[in-house]
Order: sequence, then C-alpha cells, then structure tokens
Amino acid sequence: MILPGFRLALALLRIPRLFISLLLFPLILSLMLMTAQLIGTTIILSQITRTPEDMQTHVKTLQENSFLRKLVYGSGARLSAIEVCRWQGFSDEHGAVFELPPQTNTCMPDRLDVALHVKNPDEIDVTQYVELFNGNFERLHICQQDCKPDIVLHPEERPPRVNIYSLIGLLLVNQLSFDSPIEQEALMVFEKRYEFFRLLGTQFFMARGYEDPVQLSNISFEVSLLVSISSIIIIGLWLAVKAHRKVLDYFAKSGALFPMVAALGKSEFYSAIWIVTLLRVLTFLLATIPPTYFLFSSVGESEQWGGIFQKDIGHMILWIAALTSTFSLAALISSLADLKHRVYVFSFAYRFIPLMLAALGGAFWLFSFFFGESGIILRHIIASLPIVSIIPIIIAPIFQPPLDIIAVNTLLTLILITALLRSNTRWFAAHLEAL
Amino acid sequence: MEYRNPLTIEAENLCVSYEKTLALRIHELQVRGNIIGIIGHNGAGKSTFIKALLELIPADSGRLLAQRGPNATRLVPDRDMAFCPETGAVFSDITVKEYLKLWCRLKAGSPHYLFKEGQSILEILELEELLHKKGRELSKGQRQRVQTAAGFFSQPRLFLFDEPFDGLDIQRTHELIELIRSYGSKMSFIISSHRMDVMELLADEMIVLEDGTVRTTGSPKRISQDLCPHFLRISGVPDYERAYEALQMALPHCFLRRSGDTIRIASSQMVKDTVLKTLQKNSDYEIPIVEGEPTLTDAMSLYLRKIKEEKDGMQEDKGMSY
Repeated sequence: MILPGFRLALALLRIPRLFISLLLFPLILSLMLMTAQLIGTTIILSQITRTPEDMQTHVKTLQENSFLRKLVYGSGARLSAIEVCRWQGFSDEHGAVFELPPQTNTCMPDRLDVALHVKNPDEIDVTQYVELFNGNFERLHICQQDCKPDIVLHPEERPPRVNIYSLIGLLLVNQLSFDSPIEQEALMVFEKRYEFFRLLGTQFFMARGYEDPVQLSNISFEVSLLVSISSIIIIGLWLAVKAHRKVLDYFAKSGALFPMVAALGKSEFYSAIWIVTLLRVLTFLLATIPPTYFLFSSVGESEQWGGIFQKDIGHMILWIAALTSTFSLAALISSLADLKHRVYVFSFAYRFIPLMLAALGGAFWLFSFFFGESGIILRHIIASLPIVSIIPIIIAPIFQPPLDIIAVNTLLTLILITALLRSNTRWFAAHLEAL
Repeated sequence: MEYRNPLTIEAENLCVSYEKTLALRIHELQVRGNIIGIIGHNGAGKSTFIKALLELIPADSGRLLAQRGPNATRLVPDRDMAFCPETGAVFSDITVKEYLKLWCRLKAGSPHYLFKEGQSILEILELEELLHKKGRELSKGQRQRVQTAAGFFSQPRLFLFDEPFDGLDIQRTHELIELIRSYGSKMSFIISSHRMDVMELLADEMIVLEDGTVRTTGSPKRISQDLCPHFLRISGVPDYERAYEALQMALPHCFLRRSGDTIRIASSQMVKDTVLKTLQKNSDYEIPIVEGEPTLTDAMSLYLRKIKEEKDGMQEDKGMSY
C-alpha cells in the first residue's frame, strides 16, 4: 500500500508545475512566515533579557556610534557643536523681501540641516534647540521663511509643528530621542524596576497539584519559546491540511480522481496524498527547526529556560509529543470539516464544536485555580482529555502538570486520531463523488 | 464475434446508495460477453454501476464482480481495470505529454513506454499533435482521447468507458469503435452510452438499467425485440406529411420516426390494423406495411418514451392527490 502510494507521490512531484505548487511555493511561504515570527521573537527576547548594563551599552552605542550618522555623515561619532545661522532680511528695488544666511563658510545651507521658522530670527533664544540638535546636525538655520532644509520647525504655530521633507530627515529626527534627557530618565526607571525585581527575588507561583512551583520571573522568555514551537507545529499542520485538500481538489477538478483511484487503489491513492503532505511538513520542519534552536541557544542562557525546558530531555520530548498530537488532532478535525464541506451539519460540527470545547476547557482550567483543593482534580481531568486540553497543553512547560497527565493526554489523543483517520479513510472511500 | 476469453459480470443482492438515496438495486445479474454495453435513461444508474464495479463506490450490501478468462479469474480494479470517465481527464496546468508520462510511469513502469510501445496508441488516437498542449486547452473529446490513451497504457484486462461517444463526430466515433474492436482480443470492454446506433454496432451483450434496477439483458437484437415487440415500416406513402401526422394522432403510445420516405413505428402492442385504417382514411392507394425488426435506437426510443409517460403520469397523480 505504501510503496505504490510512494511511487504516485514521487511521480506527482516529478512534474515541475506540481512540484512548485505542491511543495516549493507553500514551503517558501511557510519559511517566510516562520522567519517573520523568529525575527519578532528575537526582538522581543532581546528586549526581555536585557540588564541595566546591556541597556546602558545599547544607548551608549546609539548615542556615540550611531549607525545612522555613519550612513549619512560617514562617521558614527557625534558631530561637532552645531552652527547657529540667523538669516538676514533684505529688500530689492521692487520692494520684495528676501532672506540670506550669514555669508560665512560654516553657514552654507545643506539639505540635512535643521531650520526654525520664526517671526523675529534675531530675537529668539535657541539654547534649547541647540541642545536638542547638537551632535546630529551641522547647522541650525533661523529665518522667517526662506531657509528650507529637510527639517523645518515652526515653534510659534499652535500647536508647534515640524515638517520633515525626506526619509533620512525623518530618521535623523528619531535619532534625537536617543540623545535626549528622556532616554537617561528611561534608563533610570529601567534600573529601578530591575533592582525592585532583584530585591523581590525570583517569583514562584505555588500552584496546587503541580510537580513544581511555576516560575514567573522568566515567563516572557518561556512564552516566546512556546510561541515559536507552537508556530512551527501550527504552520506544519496548516501545510498538511492545505496539501491534503489541494491534492484532492487538483485530482477532482481535472477529472483524474476516479481513473487514478481506480487504477491505483483507494488505499494507495489516499496514502500518496498523505505522503505528499508529510513530505511538505518534513521539508518545512527540516528548514525551520535548526534556525529556531540556534536562535534560542544564542539569545537565552540555559538557566533562563525555565520549567520543562530545564529538566531532562524526556520531559521535553513528552511535551512536544503531546503538543504535536494535540495539533494533529486539530488539523485532522479541520481536514474532516473541509472534506465534508458539502454536508453542512457535519462541516459545522467539525469546524466549531472542537473550538468551543477547547475554549471552554481553557476557561474551566483557569477558573479551577479559584476552587482550592477540589480544583486540582478538575484541572487534571481537563488536561488529560483531548481537544478540551489544548490551552493547558500549550502552556504545560510553564505550569508543568504531572507527567502522567501529559502521557494520558497524548495517548487518548492518539487513539482519537487513529479512530478519526479510519473513519476519514472510510468516508473518503464512500464519498469520492462528493469531493 | 466469438472471443476466447469473454468477460462475465455477476451481481447478487447488490445495493449501492449515495447518502440516503438508493442508486443501484440488483437482485441477480449474470452477463457474458467481450464488449458489454450499459444503457438506460438518465439517472438509471449506468455511471454508478461502472463506479461500483471499479470499487470507487462501496456497495451497501451484496456483490458485484467481473471475471475473465478460461478460469474465470476475478478482475481486481487497480490491477486489471482502466477507466475513462465521461469528461475525460488531464491535469489543467500540465501538458498532455507530462500527464501521459505520469500514467506510463505509474502503470507501465517507465515514462519511455509512451514513445515506444505506446506510440501506436498515440497514432491511432491522433494525440501526437496534442502532446504539447496543456489540459485546460483541450476540448472534452480531446480529454477523452487522452484518458483513453492513459487507459490503454495500463494494459488492462477490462476497460470501462463512461459515455465515450458523447461529443464525438462521426469520424472520431468510428475511429474509437475500430480501436475498441481491434483491442477486443486483448481486453474486454464495458461501455455506458446513450448512443444506441453505436452500441448496436459494438456490443455483444447489453444491460438495460431502469431506476437502478436491471430491466433486461441480452444481445442488442434480443434487447430490441424485448423492448419493442412490434415494429412496422411503411414506405411510399403518397401524402407523407399528412399521413405521419395522422399516425401520430392515432398512435399516441407508439414511437414514430421518419427516415427518408419511410415511417418507422415501434410499439409494444399490435397496431397494424390501426395503422391500416388510419392510412386508408388519408389515401386511396394501398400502402405496403412491412413488419420487421426494430433497431436498438427504435426500441430504446419507445422504451424511453414509455418511461417518460409513466413518470409524467405518476407526477400527475401526485398533483391530483394534492
């Protein structure tokens, strides 16, 4: 059954167009999604794991060796003191008024200068502006209207405004915030908050009925890790469901479904669809797991990998097995809903009842923390049942339910998957006409 | 024509349904022939019969099987059968060549089969000019030819065709008939079709299905006689149009067909006297009425007309009961 199925799967993938539509294109799309997810996670993780020292170094780098200044001026160092150029007004023989900058080499206007448009250029006190722009701009022009670099401030308008005429100008204005006193204030707040949590110590939530206390101090790191692993599994399963449906549709629309199924046998044909599906998922996993692993290895220290990740590899494997089987069940149910799209009642039931059950399970599981000792049994029952346990299983590394609960959940889920697959195959055989 | 290894189709207490609709209900059936035709009205269960034989639709109960050869070896769909559906089949975004190579790879063991042993089939079906066209560029007839070729590449012992002559012009129809006949010694065929003229030429045994049940079986000639026990042919009628109209009025339950200057009357009852009286009313001449054998087209036309009348009658009864 497997060999002819494998032969058909390979034969299909050897057709260039099918290879692109069934394997390559979805793979590229999934990798892009995963890359975006990993970039987001990296940014969040790098923010979460910062110490005050890291923050100071980061701000200092931005202030003293700015990448933007290097790009614009050729050097990342702060510029020398800003030149203040007050423009003079003149009238020509027709009475028209115009303004000119001071006739010095240092006041020659440039696009990347900054200007203040005010009624009386000679009288305005620019101390605050000099402080603000110093180090990032070469000249500050003060005039009524004729000085027009990329950044023009209108301090006398209500409310005051700044017009920025180029993208580089926009970036330079944002660079100002790193040099401003606010950044120093923010650093101080960060240090105080860090010190507060240091004094408080690592937080543990002593949840009843769980093997270990729940460590909350590094929870953000763990959540990021959970999100990444869940994303890989979800995208993998999404690929699986889409591939499954796509191949069936492809055959059905071309009219080749019946001749092909008749010529190869239903079981072989169905296994070929799953083989194509698995190939898609496998290629995706091979492309995403190594970078994810290296990302987390490089960002987090091993002691930050709290909960289940800190324990032995067995805990980790069991959780991944539970998570994979849970999501596989979800994908299978979704695939059934898709297959039975013509039978509205079935389709509706398969699509929405599991979602409702999962949401209810999550809600009851959460509320069980208010029930004291009696809540423990309810929590364990919810966590051990398929479908209703999706939320507790996802966050199992944080709350660490007893391992036998996860094992029971995995086992029950696998039994349900097998039963559904069998009924799915029978349904497929009986409803080829409806595809 | 006598074949050495004729095909036998057997069914016993067979029930096949879609959801809750019973599509086939065959108490007992045994048909033996090398080219077996399946005919019947729309929705009679012809396609369902073929799909049930191919095991594409599971039977609710009973059995349906095909056997062939001196030892009556049971034919297994994925090993011994090929199927060409009514619409033909080619993937829309790949070329005919790629599609046929896929079939060769799967069923003939190598994609090179296409241009070696398969070359003659390409020539007979005139597919060489289509090889570089994509599936979406083909007409229904062309798609059928492609799937027919794919079926032959499988070298089946039984080839099942669902409405293969639909949309084919006369020339292509005769070419397909010749192709089927030429392969008749190597494989058996089951053909479902509405084209009675073709089925009469081609099939050695036939199954007539009616609302999912077997109405009758036998050779085309026997079926014609069974469905149309009385047949008259009238030639040389002086006032042809008037006579035809008068006969239509007088014989509302018969099937009348004009062919050249001949009027053909298919009937389930003796109507010769009625015909004579009607013609005598309209003409002073004596008109020769020949009792003869109906063609399958005549017989099936009468039969389909009867079914339609019965169904219309049932609907009227229903309407009246409301």
